[in-house]
Amino acid sequence: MGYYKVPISGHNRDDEGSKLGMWLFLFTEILLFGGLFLVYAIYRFKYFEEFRIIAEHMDITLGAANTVILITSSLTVALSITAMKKDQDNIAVLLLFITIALALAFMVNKFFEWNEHIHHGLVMGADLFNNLQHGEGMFLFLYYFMTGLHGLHVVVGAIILAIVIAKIINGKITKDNYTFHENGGLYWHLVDLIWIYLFPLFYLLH
Amino acid sequence: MSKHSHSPSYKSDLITFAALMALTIITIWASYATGGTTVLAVSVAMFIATIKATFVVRNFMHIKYDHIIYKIFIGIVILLFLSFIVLLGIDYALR
Repeated sequence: MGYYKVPISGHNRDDEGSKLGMWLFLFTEILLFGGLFLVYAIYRFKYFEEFRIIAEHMDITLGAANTVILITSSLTVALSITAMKKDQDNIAVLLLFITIALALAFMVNKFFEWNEHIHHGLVMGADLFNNLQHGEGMFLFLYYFMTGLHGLHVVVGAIILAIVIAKIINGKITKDNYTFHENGGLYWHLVDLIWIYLFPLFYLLH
Repeated sequence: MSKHSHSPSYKSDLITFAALMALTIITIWASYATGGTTVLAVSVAMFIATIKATFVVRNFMHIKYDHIIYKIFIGIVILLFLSFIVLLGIDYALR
């Protein structure tokens, strides 16, 4: 048996363990959205024609713009981690600020998009909505719920990245200790990952 | 992780980004080319989305540099989800 010596300075760290923990959390997120994708699949089968008709109200341009925004933000997060590994703290912080700005842009787009739908009466309780076919209402319900839940993840992700920035500035994240930064990045990439599927399912298929 | 054997480079991140942008353009084009909601259109859209997802997980989430256990876990999660989809498809087909 080897002799285990407790490190004398600093905290004990388990980078691999904390990353594994993050991934396990991401799996629960994937299965959460996975369940919703199954519900979508069931109703898409059941109300094929009604889904097609109502999906024509979706704005492909806004959806595509948000796709570009999220992919770009995924790039800036990945670049910020690369910068951190290269010990370029200032570049890493700048890239994270750009990411948060992109998250904001995404939510602003979303606001205009939902505002437009509500203005047209495509929302629960409005006269137009009440006269829709059942499948069309189901599409809108799933649209609001899934993109809404995704939007919530965008906000949470932006907050996590703001904490990463604070930790870099305070010197708690460094070239040799950036697991928190990486885990924040993993969360952000998951947000992108889910949108990759939401975009075609809600915007393109009509 | 500080144990990574690869040296970090901005270039590989930028290449992944370019691939994701190209696939976004292709998926929009394909949705018009396949006529929207046919089974073909849905299949093509999901196929392209999965290629994009693979790029994000492999390159941006650094799975290609990680320990094999992560790949096994991800494989199990994908199999689990696919089994739900297949069971759903069978149930729908036999109703």
